[in-house]
Amino acid sequence: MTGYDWDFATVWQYRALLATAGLVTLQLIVLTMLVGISVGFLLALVRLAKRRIFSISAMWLVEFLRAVPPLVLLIWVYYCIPILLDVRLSGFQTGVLALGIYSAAFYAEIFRAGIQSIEKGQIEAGMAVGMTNGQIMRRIVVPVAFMRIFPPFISQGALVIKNTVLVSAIAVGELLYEGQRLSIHTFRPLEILTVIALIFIAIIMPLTLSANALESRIRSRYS
Amino acid sequence: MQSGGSETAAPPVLSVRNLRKTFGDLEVLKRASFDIYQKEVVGIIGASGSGKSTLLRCLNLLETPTDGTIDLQGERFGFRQRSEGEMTLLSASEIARQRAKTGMVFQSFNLWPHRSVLENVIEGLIIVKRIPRPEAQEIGVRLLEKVGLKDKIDSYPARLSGGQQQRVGIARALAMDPAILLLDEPTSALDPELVGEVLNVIGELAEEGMTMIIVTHEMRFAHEACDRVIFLHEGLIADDGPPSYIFGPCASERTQAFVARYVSRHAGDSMPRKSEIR
Ligand SMILES: Nc1ncnc2c1ncn2[C@@H]1O[C@H](COP(=O)(O)OP(=O)(O)OP(=O)(O)O)[C@@H](O)[C@H]1O
Ligand SMILES: [Mg+2]
Repeated sequence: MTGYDWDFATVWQYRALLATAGLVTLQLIVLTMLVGISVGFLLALVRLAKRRIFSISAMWLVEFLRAVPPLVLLIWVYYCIPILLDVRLSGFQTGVLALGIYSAAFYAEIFRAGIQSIEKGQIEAGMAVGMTNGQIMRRIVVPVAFMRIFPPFISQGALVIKNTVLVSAIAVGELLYEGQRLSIHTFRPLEILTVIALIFIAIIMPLTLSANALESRIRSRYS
Repeated sequence: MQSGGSETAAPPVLSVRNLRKTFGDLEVLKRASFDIYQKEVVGIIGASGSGKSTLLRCLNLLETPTDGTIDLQGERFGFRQRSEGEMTLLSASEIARQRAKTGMVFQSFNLWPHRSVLENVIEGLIIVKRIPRPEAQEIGVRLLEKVGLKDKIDSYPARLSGGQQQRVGIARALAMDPAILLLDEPTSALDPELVGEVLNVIGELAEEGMTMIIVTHEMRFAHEACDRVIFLHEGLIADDGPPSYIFGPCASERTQAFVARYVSRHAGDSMPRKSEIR
């Protein structure tokens, strides 16, 4: 074996600090997803609007966002928004905003593909029994589209979760930021980063694995 | 055969006048006028592209007519008469409400894949008519029994044959208790051996007095089960009369030519006779 002496006891000492950081990460995840999914859904609807000005603007916004490295976007928002818009945002708020909008572009593309996959006939069947557009959207388009986009939707969720560590670059006390501080403080970067990696695995793997199971259930039942 | 309502004094269920539909420069329907009476079963035949689907889709406002009027049970469809005699399109929700008065059966079934057979049938009852679920389920089960699918109530559409899916489609349309049932080539997407089971159900509905318009390429069905047949040619009603006329020697030359082409091409079709439909 290598000569390195693993010492997880040090990490255990700082469990309270890591738990607090974990909570910040969790909040980041939830809020970023909320922003990403809701803005992404709206973007998808605008993207599919009949008026070309709308759909083309949405398309360009999506393409810009997809082409920017998320870390660059994050730092740009951190420094530019206060200057351009004269609002003060905390690092946490900046993170939710920048990463939320960033992921919204990807969610928008996923939702667009899902909505476009709905056969016209199924919408017309809804119209034929007298459903309104809103009812058709809620009762037919969204659930059927969701069934079909489930795998990329979950993959995007995993990406959102991982991308939350980027906000360590603007000093938000989430897992990676606190982990790095602890590493310097304790000279135990290997153990601490290992634990952080394990925490992320522990969050993401149950999500993706249960999604796989659900997907095969959907597949066997509905298609 | 039900007696065609045309001899009775009752007003028509559906009254269409000068119905026009254009897509850009293409005039697909050119001033179609006809009445459909209570309990009448009307077949629409015509070549591909003659405007049969467009006509049916105008009748339930899936397409907005370019010109002309549609009255269902005396109610002007899709438009409101303005004082100057001008027409304005009704709001989306009013159109949705009117649409529910017609039932539509689609060529490609169009069942909702995420809903079970029963849920497909009762969706409109619950969402549009706001009938309590237990009551809606009762109606749904009864209709599925009627189309011979009681044992498939909890299945999902993906597990059904085409013929079964179409029978669910018919039950779904019937659930809304429509004044008229519109069927657009209900058997064209089916394997030949499944056509019979669907036509049987339609034949039974005819027996029960359901008012129906059915676009079909099944000439024998049109002959046996319809009270009246409309022959559509390039967007015009070229002929309109009882099957004995349409399929007989007195029909217009064009109709006779069309029918002859069909009969020779589809010779050997195994269609149930009216007596077998029962
Ligand atoms: N939404 C649309 N936009 C443009 N043209 C259309 C549209 N719908 C139908 N058409 C055209 O209108 C004409 C009539 O179409 P329709 O579907 O009503 O014919 P049909 O008689 O039902 O034919 P088929 O037997 O093949 O079903 C065709 O030339 C078709 O291309
Ligand atoms: Mg057609």
